[in-house]
Amino acid sequence: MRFRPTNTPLKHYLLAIGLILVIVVFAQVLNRYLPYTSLLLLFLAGVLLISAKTSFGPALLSSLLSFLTFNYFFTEPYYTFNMLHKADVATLIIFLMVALMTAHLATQMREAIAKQETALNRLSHFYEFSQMLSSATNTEATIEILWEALRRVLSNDGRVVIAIEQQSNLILHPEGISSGHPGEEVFKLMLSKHLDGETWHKGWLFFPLSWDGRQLGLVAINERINDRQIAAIETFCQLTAVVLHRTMLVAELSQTKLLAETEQLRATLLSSVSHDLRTPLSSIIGASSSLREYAQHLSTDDQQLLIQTIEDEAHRLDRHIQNLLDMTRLSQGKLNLNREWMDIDDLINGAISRLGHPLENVQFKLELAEETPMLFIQGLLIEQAIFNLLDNAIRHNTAELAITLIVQHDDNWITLDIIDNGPGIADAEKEKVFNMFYSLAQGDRHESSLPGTGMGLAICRGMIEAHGGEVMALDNPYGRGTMMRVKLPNNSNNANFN
Amino acid sequence: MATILLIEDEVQIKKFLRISLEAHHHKVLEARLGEQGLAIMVEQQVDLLIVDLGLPDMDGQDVIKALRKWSQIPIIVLSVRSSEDEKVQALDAGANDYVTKPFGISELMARVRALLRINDNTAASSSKREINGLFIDLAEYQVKLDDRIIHLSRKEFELLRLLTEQPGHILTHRFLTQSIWGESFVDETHYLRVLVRQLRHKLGEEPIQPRFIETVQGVGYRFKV
Repeated sequence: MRFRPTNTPLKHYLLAIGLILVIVVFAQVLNRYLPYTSLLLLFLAGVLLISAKTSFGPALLSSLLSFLTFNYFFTEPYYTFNMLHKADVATLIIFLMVALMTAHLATQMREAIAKQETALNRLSHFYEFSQMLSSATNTEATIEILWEALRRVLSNDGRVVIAIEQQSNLILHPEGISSGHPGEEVFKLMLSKHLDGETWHKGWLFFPLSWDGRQLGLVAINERINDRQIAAIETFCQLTAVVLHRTMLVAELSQTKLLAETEQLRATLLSSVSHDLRTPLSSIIGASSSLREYAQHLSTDDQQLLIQTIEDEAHRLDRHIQNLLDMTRLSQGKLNLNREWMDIDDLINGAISRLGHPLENVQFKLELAEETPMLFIQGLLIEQAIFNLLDNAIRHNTAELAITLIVQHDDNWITLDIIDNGPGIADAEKEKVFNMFYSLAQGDRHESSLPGTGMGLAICRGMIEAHGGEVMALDNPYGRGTMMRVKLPNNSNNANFN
Repeated sequence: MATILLIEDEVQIKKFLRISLEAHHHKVLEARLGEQGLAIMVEQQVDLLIVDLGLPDMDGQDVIKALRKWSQIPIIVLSVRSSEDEKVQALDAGANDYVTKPFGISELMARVRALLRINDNTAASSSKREINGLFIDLAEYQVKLDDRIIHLSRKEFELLRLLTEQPGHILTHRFLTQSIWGESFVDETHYLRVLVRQLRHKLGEEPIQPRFIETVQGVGYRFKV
C-alpha cells in the first residue's frame, strides 16, 4: 500500500453541492420550528463535514454555496440575493468567515493525518523490510527480498535489475535478462564510476548499494519516479547494503576460519600419516635386516617370528594406505556415487570375509529379516564402512568377543545394528569416536588391540553420510558393550523389481 | 606340472612369484612387456597366464583380448585395488580370475591351483555335476542338495548352471545378466541381485560363511570349489 496524492476528483465537488442542497431542503422543513438564524448552524455542520472528508476546494465551494443559498432562501426578501435586515448581512458575513476558517482548519488537519499515515505506512514498510532482511541468510535471499520490495514501490510495469559484486563476480537478479535491460558490461561500467547518489544512464536510473565506503552493487530502475519513491528506494538500498555487508563479512570470516581449519587438519593428517606409515616400515626394515644379517644364528622359530612380523606389518601398511585413499575420496566431497542395487547379505558377507584371520576367535551371529529390501548404494563404499565398524569392534575386543548383526527395515530406513560385548564406549566419547584421528584411550591400553589410526570410523561415517544415511554409537541394549547403528535410506519403493 | 607365463614389469613381484611357483614345481616363463608375452605364447606351450594390467608397452586388457582370439588357457589378472572397473573389464574380456595387489602368495597359489584343476577336468561338458554336496542333472533339470531335491525356477536353474559351469571362476554381473535376461538388460543388475538372493535362500546359504555362492564385491559371483 502506498500513499497517492489526491488529485481532487469531480466527485468531491458534486458531493459538496449535493450536501448543501440536501441541507437546504432540510432547513426549509426546520424553518417552521426554529429561528432562521439557527439554520446557519446546519450549514456550518455541512461545511465542516465536507472539509473533514475532502480537501480545501470542495470545502470552499460548500462555504460559498451555503452563503448564497442561505441568502437566497432564508433571508428576507426570499428568493433574491438582496437582504432586508442589516443584522442578516452581518450574520452571514460572520458565517462565511467562520465557515472558511473551519474549512481551512479541517482540511489542514486532514492533510496532517494523511501525512502521518503515509509516514507510518512507510515506517512499517521499512520495519517489515528490515525484519525480512534480518531473516535472510545469504546474499541471494537478500537480493530477492530487496527486489520484491522495490517492485512494490514502483508501478506495475516498472522493471528492476539488481547487480551485486561478490568475489569479483557479478550476480544479477533477475537472471536471464531480456534485451533492453542493462547487462553485465553496463553494470561494470557504472560500478567503475563509484556513484554516490542515483544517476541516469541510458534510460535507467542507477542507485548505489554501498556501505562503509565499500561499493557492494547497484540497483537499476527504468521508470520515472517521484521524490518520495526515490527516498524510499534509497532507504531500502541502505538497509540492504548493511545486511549485504554483514553477510559478506560472515562469509569471509568463515572462509578464513575454514582455511585455518583445513591447514590445521592437513598438518595433523601429514604428521599422523607419516607416523602411521613409518611405524610399520621400521618394523619391516628392522625384521628383514635382522634376518639377512643373523639368519644363521637364529632358531627356526625366531626366523619364522621375524618373517611373520614383516608380513603383518606390511598388511598394516596396506590398511593405512587404503584409509588414505578413502580419505582423499571423501575429502574431495564429491564422491561420485556409482550406485546400484545391492543385497545387504553380500555386503556383510564381503566385509566379514575381508577381515581375514582376526576372525578365528570371534563368534558371529546374524539376524536378518526374510524380505529385507535391496539397497541402492555403491556397494564397495558401504562394504568398507561395515568393514571399518567390524574391524573397530574386533580391535577393541575382549577375549571372548561375540558380534551380533541385526538387520531391520521400515518404509524409510534399513537399519544395521552391529553389537559387540566389548568394553563399551563412555557417553562423552560416543560422538567423538567418529572424529578424525580420535582413538579411544582405553583401546590403546588393551594388549590385544591392534593399533589403529583413528581414521576408520570417520571414514565410515563419511561413506554412510554420502549415501544419505546415518551412523551412531549407542550402548548395547542387551548387556555390556557397544551397538553401532547404521541407517541407510530405503529406496526400494521407487524401484521396480518385476 | 604346468608351464606358467608371467607378464609383469615389476622386478620384485616377478622375483617372489617365480620363487614360489617354482617351489610348487611349475615351470615359469617371464616377460616384461605385453608384446613379448604374446610372442612367447605363440612359440611355446603355456598352460596358464598371469598378467599385470599396468604394463609399460600396452594395456593388459589388450593382451587378454589378443590372446582370447586364439587361445582358451586360463588367465589370472594382477591389478591394484580401487580400480574395480578395470577388473570387471578384464574379466569381461576373457580373464578367469584376478588378484589384487598387494596379495599374499597363498591367495595366488589357490587361484592357480583352482584354474589348473578345472582345466584338467572336463566334467563341465557332461550333463551331471557334483560340487561340494550339490548334485545337478542338466538333462533331467534336477538339483539335489545333500540328497534332498530342491525345486528351482527356470531362471534360478539357469543361474546355477552358469555358476557351476566353471566353478572357481568369477562370473561378472554383466555376463550373468546378459546370459539370463539378454543383451537389453545388461545394466539392470538388480534383477540378478534378487535372483541370487532367491537361489541362495533355496540352497540354505549361511550369509556369514556361504557354502556355494561367493560374492566378489563390485565384480560378480563365484561358485566355491
